[in-house]
Amino acid sequence: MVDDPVKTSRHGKAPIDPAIQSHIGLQLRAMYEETAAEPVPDDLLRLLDALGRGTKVRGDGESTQSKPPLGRKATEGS
Amino acid sequence: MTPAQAALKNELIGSIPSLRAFAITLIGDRDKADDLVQDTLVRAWSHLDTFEPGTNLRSWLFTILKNRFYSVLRKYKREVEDADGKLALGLATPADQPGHMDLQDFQEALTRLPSDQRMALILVGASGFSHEEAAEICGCAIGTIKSRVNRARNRLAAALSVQSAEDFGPDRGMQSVIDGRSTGTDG
Repeated sequence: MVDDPVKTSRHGKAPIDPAIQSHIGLQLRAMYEETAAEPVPDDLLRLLDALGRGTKVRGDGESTQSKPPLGRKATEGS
Repeated sequence: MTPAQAALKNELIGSIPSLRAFAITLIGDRDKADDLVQDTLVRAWSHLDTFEPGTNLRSWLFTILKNRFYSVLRKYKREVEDADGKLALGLATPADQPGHMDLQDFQEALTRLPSDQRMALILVGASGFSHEEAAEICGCAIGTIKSRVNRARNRLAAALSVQSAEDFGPDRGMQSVIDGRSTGTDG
């Protein structure tokens, strides 16, 4: 049998304390699920509305530099 | 909007909570995470023709978000000497604090992981993707995902056990209680 790599560290040191191991999983999911349970922010909904109307929208992110090469226009069915 | 588009829009809306959760867990900064989600939705919408109906929309969206994340990271790395993009993405980590490990400590330990490992851990450990799906999203081999997840767990465990061994190890923790107790005859 192969050692469970989750329980044995890469250097073959002491295995991870199972209590810590499960704590990591719980904390991670707690963080994640807390966020996933939030209602969708209004601006994201508005963004999708605008996209659905075919309005030109640009990601409001950090950058207004060049559009990526693949930028094809969403062809709107009439 | 065609009915097909309307249906996709609804699916997109349905995916937003998990996209946000992924982004926020990955980045740690809510505003930047929401920017990333917004960027992802815009790109997804403008590339809907590249989405193959019948395949997993969620995987597709996560892949786009992953690409945007790395592209933002690269951009900041060029601008700032910031090896892991941590400053850029608002992940500047405060000094270690001894004591109890709460969610914030955990989050800090998470942000110290290399982004590849952090991403693999979140995809598999929180987003609920299989190793195979995570490998597709990350564009790497399944074995790579597994080793990233393992390394992430090991690093977190190391960081967190140093930080607060007494919170977890019944051995050490209890031992100190026992050691410190002269005569325990409480009923």
